[in-house]
Amino acid sequence: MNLDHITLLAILLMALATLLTRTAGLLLVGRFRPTGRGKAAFDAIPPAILTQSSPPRF
Amino acid sequence: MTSVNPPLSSELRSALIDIAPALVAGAPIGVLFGALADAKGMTPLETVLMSALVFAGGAQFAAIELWQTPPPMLALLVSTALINARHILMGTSLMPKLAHLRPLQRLLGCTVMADENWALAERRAAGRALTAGYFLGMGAIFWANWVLWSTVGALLGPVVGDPKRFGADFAFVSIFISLIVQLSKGRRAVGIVIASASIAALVHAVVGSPWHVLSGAFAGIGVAALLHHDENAT
Repeated sequence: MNLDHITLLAILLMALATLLTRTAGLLLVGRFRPTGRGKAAFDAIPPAILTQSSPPRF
Repeated sequence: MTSVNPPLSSELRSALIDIAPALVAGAPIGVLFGALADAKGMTPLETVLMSALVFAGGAQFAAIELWQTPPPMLALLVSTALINARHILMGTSLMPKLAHLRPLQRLLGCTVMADENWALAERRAAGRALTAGYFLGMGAIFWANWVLWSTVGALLGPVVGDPKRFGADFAFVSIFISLIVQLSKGRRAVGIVIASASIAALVHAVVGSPWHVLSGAFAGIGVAALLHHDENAT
Protein backbone atom coordinates (compact mmCIF):
# COMPACT_ATOMS: atom_id res chain seq x y z
CA MET A 1 0.00 0.00 0.00
CA ASN A 2 1.60 3.23 -1.17
CA LEU A 3 1.19 6.66 0.34
CA ASP A 4 2.18 9.57 -1.84
CA HIS A 5 3.49 12.55 0.14
CA ILE A 6 1.61 15.11 -1.94
CA THR A 7 -1.61 13.13 -1.55
CA LEU A 8 -1.02 12.96 2.20
CA LEU A 9 -0.55 16.73 2.29
CA ALA A 10 -3.83 17.23 0.39
CA ILE A 11 -5.65 14.94 2.83
CA LEU A 12 -4.16 16.77 5.82
CA LEU A 13 -5.24 20.14 4.37
CA MET A 14 -8.78 18.83 3.91
CA ALA A 15 -8.73 17.43 7.45
CA LEU A 16 -7.55 20.76 8.85
CA ALA A 17 -10.27 22.71 7.00
CA THR A 18 -12.90 20.29 8.27
CA LEU A 19 -11.60 20.38 11.83
CA LEU A 20 -11.68 24.18 11.86
CA THR A 21 -15.32 24.24 10.77
CA ARG A 22 -16.24 21.55 13.31
CA THR A 23 -14.56 23.26 16.25
CA ALA A 24 -15.58 26.82 15.35
CA GLY A 25 -18.78 26.38 17.35
CA LEU A 26 -16.68 25.84 20.49
CA LEU A 27 -15.00 29.20 20.00
CA LEU A 28 -18.11 31.13 18.98
CA VAL A 29 -20.64 29.90 21.45
CA GLY A 30 -19.26 31.45 24.62
CA ARG A 31 -19.03 34.88 23.03
CA PHE A 32 -22.71 35.69 22.73
CA ARG A 33 -25.93 34.74 24.43
CA PRO A 34 -28.82 35.34 22.03
CA THR A 35 -32.21 36.53 23.23
CA GLY A 36 -35.50 37.40 21.53
CA ARG A 37 -35.24 37.44 17.77
CA GLY A 38 -31.63 36.30 17.91
CA LYS A 39 -32.62 33.26 19.95
CA ALA A 40 -35.43 32.47 17.51
CA ALA A 41 -32.89 32.55 14.68
CA PHE A 42 -30.49 30.42 16.71
CA ASP A 43 -33.17 27.82 17.48
CA ALA A 44 -33.98 27.58 13.77
CA ILE A 45 -30.50 26.30 12.88
CA PRO A 46 -31.30 22.54 13.18
CA PRO A 47 -34.32 22.45 10.81
CA ALA A 48 -32.77 25.05 8.48
CA ILE A 49 -29.60 22.98 8.08
CA LEU A 50 -31.36 19.63 7.89
CA THR A 51 -33.58 20.82 5.08
CA GLN A 52 -30.50 21.03 2.86
CA SER A 53 -29.07 17.73 4.00
CA SER A 54 -28.98 15.21 1.24
CA PRO A 55 -26.78 12.18 0.80
CA PRO A 56 -23.96 11.88 1.13
CA ARG A 57 -22.83 14.77 3.30
CA PHE A 58 -21.18 14.10 6.66
CA MET B 1 -34.70 18.12 31.17
CA THR B 2 -33.50 15.52 33.63
CA SER B 3 -30.23 15.78 35.56
CA VAL B 4 -29.99 12.04 36.22
CA ASN B 5 -26.72 10.61 34.93
CA PRO B 6 -27.50 7.26 33.27
CA PRO B 7 -24.89 4.46 33.09
CA LEU B 8 -22.38 4.59 30.24
CA SER B 9 -23.46 1.21 28.87
CA SER B 10 -27.05 2.39 28.67
CA GLU B 11 -26.03 5.58 26.88
CA LEU B 12 -23.85 3.70 24.41
CA ARG B 13 -26.72 1.31 23.71
CA SER B 14 -29.07 4.23 23.11
CA ALA B 15 -26.50 5.84 20.82
CA LEU B 16 -26.11 2.64 18.83
CA ILE B 17 -29.86 2.16 18.49
CA ASP B 18 -30.42 5.76 17.41
CA ILE B 19 -27.59 5.84 14.88
CA ALA B 20 -28.27 2.33 13.50
CA PRO B 21 -30.39 3.48 10.51
CA ALA B 22 -27.66 5.94 9.51
CA LEU B 23 -25.05 3.18 9.83
CA VAL B 24 -27.01 1.01 7.41
CA ALA B 25 -27.56 3.93 5.04
CA GLY B 26 -23.90 4.93 5.25
CA ALA B 27 -22.52 1.53 4.32
CA PRO B 28 -23.23 1.62 0.56
CA ILE B 29 -22.26 5.29 0.41
CA GLY B 30 -18.92 4.44 2.02
CA VAL B 31 -18.41 1.60 -0.43
CA LEU B 32 -19.21 3.95 -3.30
CA PHE B 33 -16.70 6.49 -2.04
CA GLY B 34 -13.99 3.85 -1.74
CA ALA B 35 -14.72 2.58 -5.24
CA LEU B 36 -14.61 6.08 -6.76
CA ALA B 37 -11.35 6.86 -4.96
CA ASP B 38 -9.90 3.63 -6.33
CA ALA B 39 -11.04 4.56 -9.82
CA LYS B 40 -9.29 7.94 -9.44
CA GLY B 41 -6.03 6.19 -8.64
CA MET B 42 -5.92 6.59 -4.86
CA THR B 43 -4.45 3.64 -3.00
CA PRO B 44 -6.55 1.90 -0.31
CA LEU B 45 -4.28 3.40 2.36
CA GLU B 46 -4.84 6.92 1.01
CA THR B 47 -8.60 6.32 0.86
CA VAL B 48 -8.71 5.04 4.44
CA LEU B 49 -6.62 7.98 5.63
CA MET B 50 -8.93 10.47 3.95
CA SER B 51 -12.02 8.88 5.47
CA ALA B 52 -10.44 8.64 8.92
CA LEU B 53 -8.93 12.12 9.02
CA VAL B 54 -11.50 14.13 7.06
CA PHE B 55 -14.67 12.13 7.86
CA ALA B 56 -16.85 14.40 5.74
CA GLY B 57 -18.66 12.50 3.01
CA GLY B 58 -19.83 15.47 0.96
CA ALA B 59 -16.41 17.09 0.98
CA GLN B 60 -14.75 13.77 0.18
CA PHE B 61 -16.99 13.11 -2.82
CA ALA B 62 -16.32 16.64 -4.06
CA ALA B 63 -12.59 16.06 -3.59
CA ILE B 64 -12.77 12.88 -5.67
CA GLU B 65 -14.47 14.86 -8.44
CA LEU B 66 -11.59 17.36 -8.35
CA TRP B 67 -8.86 14.77 -7.86
CA GLN B 68 -5.87 14.83 -10.23
CA THR B 69 -2.19 13.97 -10.05
CA PRO B 70 -0.83 16.06 -8.41
CA PRO B 71 -3.88 17.02 -6.31
CA PRO B 72 -5.12 20.62 -6.77
CA MET B 73 -4.43 21.79 -3.21
CA LEU B 74 -6.18 25.17 -3.28
CA ALA B 75 -9.31 23.83 -4.98
CA LEU B 76 -9.50 20.96 -2.48
CA LEU B 77 -9.05 23.32 0.46
CA VAL B 78 -11.68 25.82 -0.71
CA SER B 79 -14.16 23.11 -1.69
CA THR B 80 -13.78 21.34 1.66
CA ALA B 81 -14.13 24.56 3.66
CA LEU B 82 -17.23 25.65 1.72
CA ILE B 83 -19.02 22.32 1.90
CA ASN B 84 -18.26 21.97 5.60
CA ALA B 85 -19.03 25.58 6.53
CA ARG B 86 -22.42 24.42 7.80
CA HIS B 87 -20.55 22.72 10.66
CA ILE B 88 -19.93 26.18 12.09
CA LEU B 89 -23.66 26.75 12.46
CA MET B 90 -24.25 23.21 13.66
CA GLY B 91 -21.57 23.47 16.33
CA THR B 92 -22.76 26.88 17.44
CA SER B 93 -26.25 25.46 17.93
CA LEU B 94 -25.13 22.31 19.74
CA MET B 95 -22.37 23.61 22.01
CA PRO B 96 -24.65 25.27 24.61
CA LYS B 97 -26.28 21.86 25.08
CA LEU B 98 -22.85 20.35 25.83
CA ALA B 99 -21.76 23.01 28.32
CA HIS B 100 -21.80 20.48 31.17
CA LEU B 101 -19.21 18.23 29.46
CA ARG B 102 -15.46 18.56 29.98
CA PRO B 103 -13.61 20.67 27.36
CA LEU B 104 -11.79 17.62 26.00
CA GLN B 105 -15.08 15.73 25.65
CA ARG B 106 -16.60 18.64 23.74
CA LEU B 107 -13.54 18.86 21.50
CA LEU B 108 -13.55 15.13 20.76
CA GLY B 109 -17.27 15.24 20.09
CA CYS B 110 -16.80 18.09 17.63
CA THR B 111 -14.14 16.21 15.68
CA VAL B 112 -16.64 13.43 14.85
CA MET B 113 -19.68 15.66 14.42
CA ALA B 114 -21.56 14.85 11.21
CA ASP B 115 -25.05 15.78 10.03
CA GLU B 116 -26.57 12.55 11.28
CA ASN B 117 -25.14 12.35 14.80
CA TRP B 118 -25.46 16.10 15.22
CA ALA B 119 -29.18 15.96 14.36
CA LEU B 120 -29.72 13.02 16.71
CA ALA B 121 -27.86 14.89 19.46
CA GLU B 122 -30.09 17.93 18.89
CA ARG B 123 -33.16 15.71 19.13
CA ARG B 124 -31.87 14.13 22.36
CA ALA B 125 -31.04 17.57 23.81
CA ALA B 126 -34.60 18.73 23.14
CA GLY B 127 -35.87 16.16 25.64
CA ARG B 128 -33.07 15.57 28.14
CA ALA B 129 -29.44 16.31 28.90
CA LEU B 130 -26.85 15.09 26.44
CA THR B 131 -24.27 12.80 28.01
CA ALA B 132 -20.67 12.28 26.94
CA GLY B 133 -21.38 8.57 26.49
CA TYR B 134 -24.24 9.23 24.09
CA PHE B 135 -22.65 12.06 22.09
CA LEU B 136 -19.09 10.73 21.88
CA GLY B 137 -20.20 7.12 21.56
CA MET B 138 -22.51 7.89 18.67
CA GLY B 139 -19.83 9.95 16.92
CA ALA B 140 -17.22 7.24 17.35
CA ILE B 141 -19.56 4.54 16.05
CA PHE B 142 -20.52 6.62 13.02
CA TRP B 143 -16.88 7.48 12.30
CA ALA B 144 -15.81 3.82 12.53
CA ASN B 145 -18.66 2.81 10.22
CA TRP B 146 -17.60 5.34 7.58
CA VAL B 147 -13.94 4.28 7.74
CA LEU B 148 -14.88 0.59 7.61
CA TRP B 149 -17.12 0.84 4.55
CA SER B 150 -14.76 3.22 2.74
CA THR B 151 -12.06 0.60 3.21
CA VAL B 152 -14.32 -2.11 1.87
CA GLY B 153 -15.09 0.10 -1.12
CA ALA B 154 -11.41 0.81 -1.75
CA LEU B 155 -10.63 -2.91 -1.71
CA LEU B 156 -13.72 -4.28 -3.45
CA GLY B 157 -15.27 -1.21 -5.07
CA PRO B 158 -14.79 -2.07 -8.71
CA VAL B 159 -16.90 -5.21 -8.33
CA VAL B 160 -19.63 -3.61 -6.19
CA GLY B 161 -20.92 -0.94 -8.56
CA ASP B 162 -23.10 2.07 -7.83
CA PRO B 163 -25.39 1.67 -4.75
CA LYS B 164 -27.76 4.30 -6.18
CA ARG B 165 -29.11 1.69 -8.54
CA PHE B 166 -30.88 -0.03 -5.63
CA GLY B 167 -31.97 3.22 -3.94
CA ALA B 168 -29.49 3.21 -1.06
CA ASP B 169 -28.91 6.94 -1.43
CA PHE B 170 -32.52 7.69 -0.47
CA ALA B 171 -32.04 6.19 2.99
CA PHE B 172 -30.31 9.36 4.22
CA VAL B 173 -33.05 11.56 2.80
CA SER B 174 -35.71 9.59 4.67
CA ILE B 175 -33.70 9.84 7.90
CA PHE B 176 -33.36 13.60 7.51
CA ILE B 177 -37.04 14.10 6.72
CA SER B 178 -37.88 12.22 9.90
CA LEU B 179 -35.48 14.36 11.94
CA ILE B 180 -36.82 17.61 10.45
CA VAL B 181 -40.34 16.62 11.48
CA GLN B 182 -39.16 15.81 15.01
CA LEU B 183 -37.15 19.02 15.39
CA SER B 184 -39.74 21.35 13.84
CA LYS B 185 -42.40 22.50 16.24
CA GLY B 186 -45.20 24.96 15.50
CA ARG B 187 -46.32 27.00 12.51
CA ARG B 188 -43.10 28.98 12.44
CA ALA B 189 -41.13 25.80 11.75
CA VAL B 190 -43.14 25.25 8.55
CA GLY B 191 -42.07 28.69 7.32
CA ILE B 192 -38.45 27.96 8.20
CA VAL B 193 -38.45 24.66 6.33
CA ILE B 194 -40.23 26.10 3.27
CA ALA B 195 -37.88 29.11 3.11
CA SER B 196 -34.79 26.92 3.52
CA ALA B 197 -35.88 24.41 0.92
CA SER B 198 -37.00 27.05 -1.61
CA ILE B 199 -33.85 29.16 -1.43
CA ALA B 200 -31.62 26.08 -1.42
CA ALA B 201 -33.35 24.72 -4.54
CA LEU B 202 -33.14 28.10 -6.28
CA VAL B 203 -29.47 28.62 -5.48
CA HIS B 204 -28.66 25.04 -6.45
CA ALA B 205 -30.33 25.58 -9.82
CA VAL B 206 -28.82 29.00 -10.51
CA VAL B 207 -25.41 28.93 -8.80
CA GLY B 208 -24.82 25.27 -7.97
CA SER B 209 -23.43 23.26 -5.08
CA PRO B 210 -22.21 23.81 -2.37
CA TRP B 211 -23.60 27.36 -2.15
CA HIS B 212 -27.16 26.12 -1.73
CA VAL B 213 -26.41 24.66 1.70
CA LEU B 214 -25.50 27.87 3.48
CA SER B 215 -27.94 29.97 1.41
CA GLY B 216 -30.83 27.75 2.42
CA ALA B 217 -29.71 27.63 6.04
CA PHE B 218 -29.46 31.41 6.31
CA ALA B 219 -32.83 31.82 4.58
CA GLY B 220 -34.47 29.62 7.21
CA ILE B 221 -32.66 31.38 10.04
CA GLY B 222 -33.68 34.77 8.63
CA VAL B 223 -37.32 33.75 8.36
CA ALA B 224 -37.22 32.51 11.96
CA ALA B 225 -35.99 35.92 13.09
CA LEU B 226 -38.60 37.76 11.01
CA LEU B 227 -41.49 35.59 12.18
CA HIS B 228 -40.45 36.05 15.78
CA HIS B 229 -40.66 39.81 15.27
CA ASP B 230 -44.13 39.50 13.70
CA GLU B 231 -45.46 37.39 16.53
CA ASN B 232 -44.32 39.91 19.13
CA ALA B 233 -45.87 42.77 17.21
CA THR B 234 -49.35 41.21 17.14
